[in-house]
Amino acid sequence: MKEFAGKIGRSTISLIKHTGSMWRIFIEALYWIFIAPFRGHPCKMKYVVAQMNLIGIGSVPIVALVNFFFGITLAMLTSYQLKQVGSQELMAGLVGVSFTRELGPFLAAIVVASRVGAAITAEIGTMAVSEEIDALETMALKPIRFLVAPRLIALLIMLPCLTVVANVVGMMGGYIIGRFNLHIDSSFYIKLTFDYLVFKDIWTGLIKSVAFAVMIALIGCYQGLTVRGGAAGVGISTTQSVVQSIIFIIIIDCLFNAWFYFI
Amino acid sequence: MSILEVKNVQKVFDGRKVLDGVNLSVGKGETMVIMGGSGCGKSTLLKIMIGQLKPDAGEVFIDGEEIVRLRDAEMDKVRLKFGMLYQGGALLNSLTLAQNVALPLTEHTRLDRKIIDIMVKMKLAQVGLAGFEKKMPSELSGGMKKRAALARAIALDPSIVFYDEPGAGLDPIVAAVIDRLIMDLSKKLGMTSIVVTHEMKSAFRIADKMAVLFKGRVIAYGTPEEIKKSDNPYVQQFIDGSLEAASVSAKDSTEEYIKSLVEGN
Repeated sequence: MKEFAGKIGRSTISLIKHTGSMWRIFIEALYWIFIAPFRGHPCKMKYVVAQMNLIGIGSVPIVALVNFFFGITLAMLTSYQLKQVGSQELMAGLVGVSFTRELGPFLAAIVVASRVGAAITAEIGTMAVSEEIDALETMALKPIRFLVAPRLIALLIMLPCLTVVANVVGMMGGYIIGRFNLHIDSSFYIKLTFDYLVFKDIWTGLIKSVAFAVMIALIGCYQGLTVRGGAAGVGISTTQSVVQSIIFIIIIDCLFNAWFYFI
Repeated sequence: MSILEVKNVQKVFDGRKVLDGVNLSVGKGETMVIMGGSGCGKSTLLKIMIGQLKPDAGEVFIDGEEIVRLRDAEMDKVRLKFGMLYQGGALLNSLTLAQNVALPLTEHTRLDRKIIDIMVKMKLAQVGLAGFEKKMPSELSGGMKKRAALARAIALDPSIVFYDEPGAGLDPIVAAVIDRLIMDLSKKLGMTSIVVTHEMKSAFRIADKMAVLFKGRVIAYGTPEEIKKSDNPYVQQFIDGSLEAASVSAKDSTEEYIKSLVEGN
């Protein structure tokens, strides 16, 4: 019992320590993004653009693929249920609202956490074990400015964009079922979708994607910066980065849904 | 006059005293070699000297400025006075050699891009890598990486260059080339060199002064000749690279030394 209590105590202290360190990195990254440019130290745009390309453009095919098939699946499942009450055409609105409010931002974030979060940790982690980060510090260059800030900016811009892609492609998946299985006319399907969609559905999803972007960037970078123990350490941190990102995405998603549900 | 001074530096890790009152003084333009076996604390000392690690006690002066109590922003100004060559080079793998060498120049000076390009070419030529500007670090051999890293370390013409095991992982000829570069920087440009190594041949080739660390203490200090003549059995054993128990002092037998390495105390 004493041992168990000790383990919980140690884990709690470790969690507080890690959260504190991550918070410090976040604050420093915000400084480099919003304050330092006015003091003559802007974030290097070429690094930001490179990350935007890697994170955003590189993720479009897989985000589209996942959401397209998820749209088809959701349409099939909902129309199967709605068939029992004779309102299959409601499926269009349901798919639309589901994607803009929940599935679009959520699936895009999960895909990006798995693909990009892992890549961020692996890249920064490899730099840490090969002393590249130490070298930056020795040259009086701030690793947060060079490594974290560009990735955070890129994710903040690209994840909402990917969410829009996910929403559109997911609804297209629903359209395929509506058009070819339920034989709903194209223009009528689109009208049905927009009849049920309200602006709040779209902005709540986009706000969530911004929170997910911060989480993925911070966890990915923090895990990379704190890699210990060579190549094996990089592997462990990369796995932890993906697992933690997904867990936090689910928790944040739940909190936001609760907030949006009650307001 | 000393350009680097270490005064009574102590560091403890997990109850283990890694540095136990180290004192060192390095004169301007000198090449100081810090030697010692694995786990003797030389890497910790190097990290403290470049401000990457804070000692538990003691002081470090660089060019007369005490760095231990400096804030990060103040330390950054001191960092511009020295360069560092890491064991593996630590070049940024996503940048070309030219971009690596240009990095400190673009970030810390207001020089025109064309001037920076010329300076980069000069620095790379200085280490024998003219024409390699567009190469990526992954395309280079170990020795070339270290030379490129040295070009980056001297990009801002620092007064001190720290070297962490410069010859590690290199064949003897390439290691000798790196040694020659260190000597050239010291003799021709007047740069002070602080080299951490355990390679005897290289150490005696480049050193003006030497310090031998053992169990976190400086047990021998002096010119290479003085070190060679040292009557400390550990120093002699270290120079010879012998495992003979007879050549170590009674209080530190070979078995005890190996045990201390294994157990880390």
